[in-house]
Amino acid sequence: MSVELFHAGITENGGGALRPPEFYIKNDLYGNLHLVMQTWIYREDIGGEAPFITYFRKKHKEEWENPSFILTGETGLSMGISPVIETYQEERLIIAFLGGHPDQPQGSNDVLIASSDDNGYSWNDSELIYISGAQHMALLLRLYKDVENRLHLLWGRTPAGGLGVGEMWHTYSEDGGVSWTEPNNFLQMEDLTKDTEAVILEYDVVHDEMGCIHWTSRTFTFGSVISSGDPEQGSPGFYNRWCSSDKQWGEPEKLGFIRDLSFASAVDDEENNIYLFWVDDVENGNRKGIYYSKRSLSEPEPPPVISQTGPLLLHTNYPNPFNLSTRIRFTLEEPGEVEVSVYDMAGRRVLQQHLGAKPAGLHVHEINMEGMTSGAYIYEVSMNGTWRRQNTMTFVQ
Amino acid sequence: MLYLLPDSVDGTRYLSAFSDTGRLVLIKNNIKRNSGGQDLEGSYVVQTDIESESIKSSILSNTQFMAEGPTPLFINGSIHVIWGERREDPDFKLWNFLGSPIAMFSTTLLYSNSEKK
Repeated sequence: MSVELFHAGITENGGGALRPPEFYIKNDLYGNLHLVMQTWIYREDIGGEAPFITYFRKKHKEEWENPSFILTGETGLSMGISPVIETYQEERLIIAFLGGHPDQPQGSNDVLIASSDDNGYSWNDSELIYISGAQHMALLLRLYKDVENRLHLLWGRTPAGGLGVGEMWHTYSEDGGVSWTEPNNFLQMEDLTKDTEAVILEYDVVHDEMGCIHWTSRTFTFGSVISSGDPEQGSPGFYNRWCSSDKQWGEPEKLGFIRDLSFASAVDDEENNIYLFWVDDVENGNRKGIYYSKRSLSEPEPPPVISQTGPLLLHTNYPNPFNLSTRIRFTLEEPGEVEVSVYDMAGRRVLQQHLGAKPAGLHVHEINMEGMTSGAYIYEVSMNGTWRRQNTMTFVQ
Repeated sequence: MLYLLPDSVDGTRYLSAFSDTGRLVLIKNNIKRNSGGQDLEGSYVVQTDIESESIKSSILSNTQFMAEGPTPLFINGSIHVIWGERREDPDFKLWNFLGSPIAMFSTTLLYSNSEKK
C-alpha cells in the first residue's frame, strides 16, 4: 500500500481548510477525480480570511492539477462553505454550496450551485437555488445522483445563528441541474419529538437500484444527558425515504437511540437493507465501539417499465451512459429461461450470456463492456427464446 | 436490533461507510497520543463483511499529524481513500488551528469484486 500526497490545499496567502467533512470527491465516467474543499483566503477588503470554495481535478492517470476557485468577484458573494460535488453524464459537473451575501445578516446562508459543462475547465456563475432569508440559516448540504440520473439537493434550515437543524429541505433536478423543483420542506423536527428543541446533528442519504433515496439522521434533544450510558437518555435516529414512483416523502420512523456525539452514516446493500453506523460507549464508557443497526426495507416499487411483451418487462438500465459496466433490470411475470445479448449499432452481436432458469420477479444483471470500444449499443433480454425486448445504452471509455 | 462490531478501537471518530456491490466498508479515524502528550488522529481503514467476526484494520496516515475527514471512493474494483492531514501553520504555530494548512493525501487499496466470497 502506498500513500501519496496529491496536493496541499494551501493558498498563497496562507489560508487552509476548515475542519472535515468539508471536502467532497466524486469520479466521472472517464476515471477523472473531482474534489471540492472549503479553504480560507485572505481578503484585503475585510482585512482577514474568508471561506471560499476550491475545486481540484485529477485527470485519469495524471497528477492533481492546480486548484481553481469557484467563487469569483462576479458572484457578489462574501463567503462560501460546505461544498459538495456531483458528476452528470458526459462532461457536466455541479457544485452546490452555502453562500452568504455581504448585505445579509451574519449567520444566514443561501443554497447555490455552480456548474461546468467542460469537465471543470471553466465554471458558470453560481445560481441561487434557495434563499434562507435573514431569519434562517441553511446548513448540512448534500448533493446526490440517483440511478435514474436525477440530482437531489438536501439541506437543513435553522433559525439564524441557531444550533442544528429544525427542518429538512429537498429539491431535485431531472435535467442535470439546469432546472430544479420548488424546494420542499419534507421534515419538521416538531413532528418527530415532543421536544421542540430537538435538532438534527448528522444525516446521510443513500440511493438504491429502484429509484429511491433513503435518509437517516441522528438528532439531539436539549436536556438529554449525552454519554450517560442510559439508552433512554440518548439521541433518537430517524429514517425516511423518497421514491421516483410517487416523488413524495413518507412518514419519518424512529430507529433507536444513540448516546455519543460521533458521526453516523448509512449504506444500502443488494438485499435492500439499510445500515446505520455510529460510535458509542462500551464497557461502561471505558472504550468506544462501532455500533450498527440493520434495517430491512419494505419491497420498493419497481422501476419504470420501458417496454413489455408478454410476461417479460424491461426496465431502464443504470448507469447510462456508463464506464465499464451497467446494470440491466427486467421483470418476469412467470418463471423462464433468460438470455442477454448486446449488439453494436451495425447489428453485430458482441456479447451473449445465458442466465439460465430464473424465477418470477424483478432481476438485475450486470453487463461488463471491458475491451469494447466506446459508443452506443443495443442490449436485448429474451425469455424462453420467444419474448424479446431491447433498449439502447451508451458505453464511454 | 443494535449490534456492536467486534474489535472496536478506543477513540473512534469520523466514521464513514459505503457499499460497493454487497460488501460494506468502514473508514474511520482514531486518536493516538504521541510522545509530546498531544492527541493526534490517524486515518484507519476498517474493512468488514457485516455480521462477520473478521475485521481487517490498518493505519494509512502519518500519526505525527492530525488526519481528518477520511473519504472512501469506489472506482472499478478499487477503493480510493482521500483524507487531510493538518500541519503546523507558519504564522500561528498551531497545528490544530481552524484554517491552518491542510495537506491532502490519497491511496488506493487493493480490492476487487473477485475477492468477495
